[in-house]
Amino acid sequence: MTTATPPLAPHAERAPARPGAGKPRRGVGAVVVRLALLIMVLLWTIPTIGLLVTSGRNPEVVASSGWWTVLSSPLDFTQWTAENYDTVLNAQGMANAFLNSLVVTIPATVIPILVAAFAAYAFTYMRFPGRDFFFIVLVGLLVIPLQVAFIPLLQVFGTIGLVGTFPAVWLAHAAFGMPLAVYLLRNYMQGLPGEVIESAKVDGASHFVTFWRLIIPMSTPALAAYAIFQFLWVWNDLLVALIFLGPGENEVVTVNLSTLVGTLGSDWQLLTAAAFITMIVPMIVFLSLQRYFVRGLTAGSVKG
Amino acid sequence: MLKAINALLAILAGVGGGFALYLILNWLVERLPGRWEDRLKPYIFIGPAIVFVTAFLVYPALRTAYLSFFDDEGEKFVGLANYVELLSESDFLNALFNNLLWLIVVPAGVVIAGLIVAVLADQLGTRSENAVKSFIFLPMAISFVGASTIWRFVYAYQPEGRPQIGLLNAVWTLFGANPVAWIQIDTARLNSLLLMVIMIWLQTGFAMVLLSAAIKNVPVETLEAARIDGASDVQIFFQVVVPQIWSTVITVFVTVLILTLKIFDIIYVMTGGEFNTDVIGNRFITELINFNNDGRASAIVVMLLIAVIPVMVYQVRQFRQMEATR
Amino acid sequence: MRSRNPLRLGALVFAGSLVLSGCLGTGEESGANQPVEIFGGITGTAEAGLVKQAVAEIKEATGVNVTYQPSRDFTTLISSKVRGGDAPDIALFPQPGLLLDMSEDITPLGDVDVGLDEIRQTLIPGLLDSATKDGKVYGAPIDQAPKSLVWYPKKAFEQAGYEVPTTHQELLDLTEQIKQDGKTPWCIGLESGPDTGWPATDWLEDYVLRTAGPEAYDQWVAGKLEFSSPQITEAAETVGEIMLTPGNVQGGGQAIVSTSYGDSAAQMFENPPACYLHRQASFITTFFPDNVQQNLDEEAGVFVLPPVEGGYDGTPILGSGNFAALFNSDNENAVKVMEYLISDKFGTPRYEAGGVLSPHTTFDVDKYPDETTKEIARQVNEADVYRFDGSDLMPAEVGTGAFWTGMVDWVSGQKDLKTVLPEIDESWPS
Repeated sequence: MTTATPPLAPHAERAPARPGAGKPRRGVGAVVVRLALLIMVLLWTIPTIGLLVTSGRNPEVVASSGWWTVLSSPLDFTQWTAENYDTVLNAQGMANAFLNSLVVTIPATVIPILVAAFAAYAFTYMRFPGRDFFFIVLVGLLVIPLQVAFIPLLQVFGTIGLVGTFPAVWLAHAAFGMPLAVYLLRNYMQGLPGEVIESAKVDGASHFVTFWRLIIPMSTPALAAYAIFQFLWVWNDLLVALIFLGPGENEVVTVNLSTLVGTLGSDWQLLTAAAFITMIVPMIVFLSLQRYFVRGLTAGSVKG
Repeated sequence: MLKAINALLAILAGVGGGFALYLILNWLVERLPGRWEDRLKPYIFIGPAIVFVTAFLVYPALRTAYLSFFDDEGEKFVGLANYVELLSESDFLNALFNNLLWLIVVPAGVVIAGLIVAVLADQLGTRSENAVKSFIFLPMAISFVGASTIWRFVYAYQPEGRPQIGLLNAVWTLFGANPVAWIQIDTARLNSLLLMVIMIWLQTGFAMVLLSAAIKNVPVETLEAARIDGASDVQIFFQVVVPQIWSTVITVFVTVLILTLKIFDIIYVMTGGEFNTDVIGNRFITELINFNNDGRASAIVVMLLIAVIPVMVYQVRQFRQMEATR
Repeated sequence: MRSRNPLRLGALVFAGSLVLSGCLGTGEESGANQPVEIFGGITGTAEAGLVKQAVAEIKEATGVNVTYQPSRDFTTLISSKVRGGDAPDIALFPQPGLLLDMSEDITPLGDVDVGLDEIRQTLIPGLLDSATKDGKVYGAPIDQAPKSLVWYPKKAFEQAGYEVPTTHQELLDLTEQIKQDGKTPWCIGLESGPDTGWPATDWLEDYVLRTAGPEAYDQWVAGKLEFSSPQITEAAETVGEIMLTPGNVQGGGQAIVSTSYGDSAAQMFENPPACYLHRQASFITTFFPDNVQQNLDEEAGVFVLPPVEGGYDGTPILGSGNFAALFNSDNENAVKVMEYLISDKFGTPRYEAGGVLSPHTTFDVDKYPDETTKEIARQVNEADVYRFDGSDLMPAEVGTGAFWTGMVDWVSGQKDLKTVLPEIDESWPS
């Protein structure tokens, strides 16, 4: 994700509590606030609930009645079915696409972290000619639209027969995620206590050892935050996958879903089941690691 | 089963390859004579990262700019013809105009919605606040394609007389109105706005998290002082809180702006660019994949790139300032 | 194949990094056992299965290890594959226009021994022209699906006392009669995801053939007769008379545009029928409800879209089909497979299942599974004019771009014909 995400610093997690400023209100004001929030929460959840409900209903009832009608008779089991998932997974290739998504996403997350961690270490702890220049270039590249790379990359990948293969997307995603990864990690490492590194040097540890034994473990929060970013970004990506993998044997879930939308028309029970399958992994990652993600987003941006 | 094993092997190969690269490079450097080791090592450390961005971003960007002056096959030099052609086509201008709308409406909508949740939830107890935020935040995990499917279903339309299974038309017809084919209505760009809703829906959580943290960081004393001076809640918000969180507002705005500039997935899935909803991100794909026209596709990207340059300059300047105050 | 120096250099860098990141290369066999890959856009579990069966027959007959790889998004993928130097041995193009776009990478059939002269004798006249450029034939049809067909729900249709029209005026009268009875005459749907609009292009093509005639049609498809010309405008107005007259289609233009083409066909067999007429190609039967498909002859009726009085004198047939093109003629086995593929021997399992027809007039009509298909085949073989779907022959910018968009804009009521037709003309690449 090429974003202007603010720098991530280790010790700026949460401001001290502010007694008074955020205290619960009373009276009419409180009711209005609660009502407004309730409406927003409903707007933000109902569409997804509709998706989930529809994915478990029989085709006949889906076509003839809105999903909200189940609220009146949720226990009428004749309307529920798991067949939609079976159809989508097997007949429509979603199971295969799901595996492909894992194959694409895991290396495409690990490779840039590995590469960026080394670079961030050098940018932070080593002195060498061109250091500032290279880093400024990386900062500038944070916002570049990745579409600029597609046409030449297609041609190059073409000449070496990489189009439609997994390494093509690994390399592309690793590169597109690189500026943000180096930027985030370098900013984090700058906030680490300098004495630790100095003492390691005195003890005669090589850069590689310092990096591997000291810096990497200390940078875990930043690494985790970036990993979640990149994982969600790659898993949810349609553009890169469409261009470099395309539909077919190696297609990922987003590509599969977008073709289903085109071919299944109004078979909503299948479309919704397919959509839910594409959402399940990022949801789990997100919910279980939300803490790191939020910390990654906020830390540093508000340290005054 | 075989497929799963293959998948596992592929993952291991991809991840392992990355590790192997480093061990080999480092081993090489450590074999160098001491003086060289210190000089070369930094470059070995940053080398792969620089190679990645040079090979996959810098070089392709330059080559794309070069190709934009050539014909569809990339063989004949045509000067500015691609640009002139595109800018004289009503379809393309229309897509540009839509993009402009997206660039204004979406970041503003995201900031406003995020601000509303952040401010209002701040007045609840910690538990309810976290619960509310989680609900608003969750769509951030959903892909554009997934969200488009969700909202396609909300906007679904059936002619009058058939059961309305789309939520919006169900509510709409409840009041006796005729069902509406929402994504076809381009009067006042209604359909484009409805597509923008999807993106705002997805990104509000991001704005909320940053803005909420910023608001909580506003020093209490400044609020108390204003309150003693007799300022109302609204006055306090606009005159005391907003100026102090302004830099965060800008950060959120710019981040969403960049994301919006490249928007493609939602249009691709929802309308394919029909009904006057096309944007340049989708136009690019149409030219590249459907029409196989490298020259015009390149020209479109270059225009996108030019639009990004001011943001890039801003970004670099911000960074310099930050470094200076460190 | 494009290969220039900067590319080579880039390629080397990538190749290097790839080796290091653990390349998953696969060795390729060569020589007499060289396998042959056919790549195509015929998908769907049943459809693709039949192609695989038909391809298995090639394997039996020639001894070559040949496989069929279907992809739902063939059109997208084939260009990136060819661009990427990863072309299949043989590809089955649903659009000969796209095939001719890639003619640089395709072996002309006259250059290899695949029996071009034989199939010239057996194919429906005119079909091969669609894949011919500068006198060279680059592809040959492996199937065909006539499109100029109007379907009706037989039982309800006969119960209501309706009769099959034989002229355009009778068709309009029938439409009026159904409306008088308080029912909806037509079901029309244009929605097809990113391809939305194609069914409307078929409508226009059918009526260009009927009002302006095949010669004007050929000129139009070649870009020599403008969309905004009086002939094409007249054809479009004729289409509009059926599609857009209030009451002819439930929900009008907006509903037409947002109803998926498959759904609109199935609605004909609801109880009571949502409509009594549906113009669509022979393959639409696969979208009929299961019970209809099983008793096709009893449930569904079909007639050829009638000629227009004062227009072309005769009944033209509009059709489409998949064209095979040979990419890798270095592979001797691929040439062998190609010869079989385009001959009248190929495809029997598919034709026995119905839906698509053989492009060869020599194919035994009795092998088709039901009376409905046999009747269609007879009419097609007798038709004096057969023309390939024009939007598939036009340049992609028009045929899969402005033409679709224009029809959608017009039918949905966003723009009128006077605006839409010149806009489509403008999109024609110079």
